[in-house]
Amino acid sequence: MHPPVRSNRLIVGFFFVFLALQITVPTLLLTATRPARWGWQMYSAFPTAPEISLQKVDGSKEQLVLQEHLANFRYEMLQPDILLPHLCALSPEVAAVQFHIQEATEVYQCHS
Amino acid sequence: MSLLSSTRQVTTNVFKQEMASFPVGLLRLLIGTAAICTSFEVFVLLTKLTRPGMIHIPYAIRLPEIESAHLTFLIPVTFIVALLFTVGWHTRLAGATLVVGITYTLLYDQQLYSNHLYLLGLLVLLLTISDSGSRLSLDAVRSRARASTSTGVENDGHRGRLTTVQAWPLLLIKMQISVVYFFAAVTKLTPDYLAGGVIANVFNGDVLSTPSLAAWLPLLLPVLAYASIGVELFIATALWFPKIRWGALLAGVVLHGTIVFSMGWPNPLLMFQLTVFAVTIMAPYLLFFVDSRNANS
Repeated sequence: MHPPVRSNRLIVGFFFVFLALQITVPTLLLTATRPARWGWQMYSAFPTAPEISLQKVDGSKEQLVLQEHLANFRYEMLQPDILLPHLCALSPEVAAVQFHIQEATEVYQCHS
Repeated sequence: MSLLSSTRQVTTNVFKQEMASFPVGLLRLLIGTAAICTSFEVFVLLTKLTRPGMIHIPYAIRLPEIESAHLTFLIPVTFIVALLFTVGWHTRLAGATLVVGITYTLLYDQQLYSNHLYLLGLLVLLLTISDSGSRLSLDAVRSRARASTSTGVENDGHRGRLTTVQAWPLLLIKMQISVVYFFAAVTKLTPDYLAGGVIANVFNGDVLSTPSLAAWLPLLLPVLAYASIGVELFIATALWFPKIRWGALLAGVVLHGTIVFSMGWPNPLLMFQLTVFAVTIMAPYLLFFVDSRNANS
């Protein structure tokens, strides 16, 4: 005998939950900054990578080569809100982080 | 018949459908091979991540730390599990372990996310549920050996091998492929992409700067942008219609072939990664060419 068809509630539930997640998550992410993860947004945008400088407590400034500190250089991560705490944690000497994207420069304090 | 009872009838039929097990086994072989290739890529990234000075960017829930000492164990184990899934030895256990490994990787660090790893995880999950190890597998060989001494599994003369498997997980795979192409197209509907700005950046610069091509770029880039969206939307829908299904296959070959050569050339590693993604997303096309039938028919 072939195994019986198990059209029980668990299978039906899994089917519709899986399908609902696969449609609603990418739909909600249409409003997020592109490219967003989990939304099948491959090659939908090519953001400019920021130039990053670390401002030390002694007032000196150090240009950071981001590729030397990231295992994988993914564009959706190159945002201040994602990177800032990790860049501040690189050294206790870091007082602030400067993001320079195209013409705009913004400075974020580490211990604000 | 009321709308409610019609819907219930359709839903019931979906869960009664079965599909030939041979193409499902073939799909498992292809996706398993993609998993083996991807495991190398993931471990290159994980090895980099464990180096001193590297930034670890976890999600809100921080998973237990992976250190370089763990990798000497995890690398061979993951490779072996992916290999076992591919050859179909204890397929469901190997598949489930692989899904856990992929999920952990995706949630461990934000840098480890990639669309092809995510898609691979979903496909391995659904192939594990769908009993994809019932054909073209060591499980099938073992089952046949057992069936030679005892009976109990319905077969078509191929003793011990299930000739059909439940179709609903495979329907989810088919829907997943359409979802990926659909959203890949829709998310490109931005002024920058439509003007060709993204294509100009991701295509190989040497190809675009060819003198014969360079003069046409202002016209060519938007045409390529619109064409890529059109092709993705076409594949997402055409795979469901028998009369134009072969057109979808051809469009997929052209689309992914163009991506591999225009974006990857001459970087062999990038070409390899793009080829693995092409295999991951195109292998499930196979399911569209196989009919499902009712289990009671």
